[in-house]
Amino acid sequence: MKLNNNIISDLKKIVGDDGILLSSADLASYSYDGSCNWQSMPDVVVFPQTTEQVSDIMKLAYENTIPITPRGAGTSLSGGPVPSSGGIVLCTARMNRILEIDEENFAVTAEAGVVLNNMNMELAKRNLFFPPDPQSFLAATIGGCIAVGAGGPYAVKYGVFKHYILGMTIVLANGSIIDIGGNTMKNVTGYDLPQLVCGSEGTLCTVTKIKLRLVPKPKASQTITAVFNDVTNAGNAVHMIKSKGVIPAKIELIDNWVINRVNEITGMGFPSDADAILFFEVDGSPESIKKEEEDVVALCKEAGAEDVWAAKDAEDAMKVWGARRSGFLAIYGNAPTALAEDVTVPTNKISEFLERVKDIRKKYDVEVVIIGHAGDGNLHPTVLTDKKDTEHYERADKAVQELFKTALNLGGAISGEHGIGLEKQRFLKDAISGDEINLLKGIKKIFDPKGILNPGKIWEQ
Amino acid sequence: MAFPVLKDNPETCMKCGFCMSGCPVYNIDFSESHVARGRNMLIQMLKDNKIKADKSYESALYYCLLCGRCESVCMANIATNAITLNARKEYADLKGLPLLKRIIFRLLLKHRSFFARFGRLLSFIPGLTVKEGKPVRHFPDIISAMVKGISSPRFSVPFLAKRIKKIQKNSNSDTETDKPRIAFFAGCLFEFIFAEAGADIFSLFKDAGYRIEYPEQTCCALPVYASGDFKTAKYMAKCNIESFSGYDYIVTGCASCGSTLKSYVNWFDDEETKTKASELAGKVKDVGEFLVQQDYQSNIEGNEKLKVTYHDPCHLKWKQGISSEPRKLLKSLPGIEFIEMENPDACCGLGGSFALTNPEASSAIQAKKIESIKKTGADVVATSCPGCMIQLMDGIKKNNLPVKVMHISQLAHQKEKRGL
Repeated sequence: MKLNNNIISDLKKIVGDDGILLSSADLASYSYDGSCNWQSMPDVVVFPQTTEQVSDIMKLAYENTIPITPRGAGTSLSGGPVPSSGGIVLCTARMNRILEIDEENFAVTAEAGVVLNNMNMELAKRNLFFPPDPQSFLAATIGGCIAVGAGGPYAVKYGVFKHYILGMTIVLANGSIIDIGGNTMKNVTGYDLPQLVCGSEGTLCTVTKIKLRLVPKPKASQTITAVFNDVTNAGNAVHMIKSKGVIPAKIELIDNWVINRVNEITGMGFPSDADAILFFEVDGSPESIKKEEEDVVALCKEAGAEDVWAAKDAEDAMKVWGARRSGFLAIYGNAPTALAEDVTVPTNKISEFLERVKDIRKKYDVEVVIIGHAGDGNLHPTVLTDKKDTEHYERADKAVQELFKTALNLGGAISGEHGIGLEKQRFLKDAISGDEINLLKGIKKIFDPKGILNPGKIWEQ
Repeated sequence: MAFPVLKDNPETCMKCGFCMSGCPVYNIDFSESHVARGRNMLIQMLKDNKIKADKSYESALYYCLLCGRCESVCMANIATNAITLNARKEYADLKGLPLLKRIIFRLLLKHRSFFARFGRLLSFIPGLTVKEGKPVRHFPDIISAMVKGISSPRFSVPFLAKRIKKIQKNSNSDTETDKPRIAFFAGCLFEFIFAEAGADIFSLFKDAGYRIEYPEQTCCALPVYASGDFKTAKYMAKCNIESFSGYDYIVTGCASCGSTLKSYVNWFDDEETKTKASELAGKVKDVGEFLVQQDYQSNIEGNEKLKVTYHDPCHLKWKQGISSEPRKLLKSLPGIEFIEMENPDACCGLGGSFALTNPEASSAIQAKKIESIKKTGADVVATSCPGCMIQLMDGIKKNNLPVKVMHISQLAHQKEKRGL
């Protein structure tokens, strides 16, 4: 689709000459997101700075039936913000003001383009805490996080983005601006529209402002490392700890492959033959974390851990989490293409899933590595391959398909926190029923009668 | 199965977007083609014939300060600056370099004596020169207005080489042969623009009893290499490698020169030059780093409290990992109250010719820096790079701030330089 000059000049009237990108290199740089396989050129990129400008852009798109794809920082791993039908990319990156930090009511109101880490730094100054921590936090925007229903390691104890939404300002397909939700944690006023919008990947409306719930910053935290010679025992440990009523803030798992790469990068000297390592963070008051630390250590031993230890001090803890983070470097530094999957299983199925991953690795002769959030069953199995090596890539893709099938058979979900976008459309039919998909389509029709809002996403067309 | 992964391959970029978090340029207009991830993708798309090497591609290639901050947060440990530079070279091979750049690189920067003569000629133009510390006004301001950017720096006559000769003549320098041999690498900005500060560094070493020399040298070649003229740059690098072999240390007060000297090793494929370049890299020391390692004690006396803040040059912090040493040096000096500014490692916005080709972005980055400096209430902003000094002086002048910009070594050495 090529947009005519009238549309372009109307867009310029709305956002100014500086607010629009048209050159070939600029358009090409909005043709992708953080995922591996999806690319499609937009016809124009616009940078609105106010809700009113978003509304004017939407009206123009609505009148002329132009596809419009909202985008934050484009760090998503699902292909969601890839403009697969061309048209307008509406980038919220310049709507980046924190509008209000309400310390009395523990709430923050921010524009959609605020980068999560920037918001967190402002909150930290006031001893406030917004727990959901997608690992793209250095670049990801609040709006993008809402769009995909993002989460992170803290989900074990604190939940994910959707658990923190109080209200939002959205712009509908026809350009009308409405506020949905409210200001209170408890709020049952008709259908819960903010929850519907969260995870809708820009297919229902464009979110311009968000009001989020906050919690006080925990006073203390402690880090515990547990080494297992059998990954199944690690899975069991997670389950045992949670069933005893101990809820750590994070429980992260790395497998043998990652352990050895992390050793190479950081010199941490973890046992090279360990099958898995669990990293725990417990937080709360100084007294409560002491008790939780003892429980976690005892239960890990009971589950068969070879070695368990708590961090000596804050610096020691930082080293441990630095090692955990270097796992990403390990993966991305060792494979031209890393298919980072997002399947999630119920926590009592973690051991079984990890066993099946080993089978899949053997069956397709590909490296499938685990660096994931064990505490909530969101294990992030990642298949290492090379897009350009067709034969290898085919095997890798088959392994991915089997990972999805396995997760679903165990009662899990195809996406824990990345969203469906383009990437996982082919698995949607296996994950939810035809009736449910029809409901999704019907809801979309009400919000977007002309089908201009991020068309072509979530379900196969 | 293990895959060989080249760090300077744009395809290795996993598009995580972490580079966006610190990129000074991206954080002005939030445009994807202005951040490392975007450039990596464009460079790869050109290789895959998905886009054309047109003007917009060129503009994206050059919309980068080469500060290296993206590399410090990169999850895949990618050499994004090298990728950009290689792409600029390929672009220059394809389209040719503009005439002005060819003249500057292949005549002036390549042959320092030409530059000296040329600069000497230019310095006769009223206003292009600093005389007794006061620039003659107007002419440079007209030039600045023309490029909508920074006020053009003035030549300082006499140039550094001449000043150093004078220092060497006047000093009853010892010739003890058991002391380590130190070579001073000045760089173009100390040679021609901040000759006085350059001479200060040299005499600091002399006065402290070091055996320092000023060997024949040419431009470090960063501007040449950064424009994709690898051939000329390599020639220049070889000249410097030869000239500086045989010394125990190579001390420089220029963060950009220092990082470039250290990176020569990546420029060559032949083992012989690579080995020599690697030896050279191991000997390069930033002035502040060297003095702290040598446990330098300033002989300045005084109880005056000069409020000093420090600006981290990108090419020192991100490229060479040096940020604690300059602070340690400053804090060790008598008569100084050190005040840390907000975001001391935020770029000044110069980026060599970036400031000339993208004046709006450069000024916007500069404005953030000046705001941080202003908040400290400092009398002096010290730094370790003459490039940053140009940009900081310009920003301070634009804002009429009562702040002096000084090279860190000037504070260490002479009391009168502090304006006390």
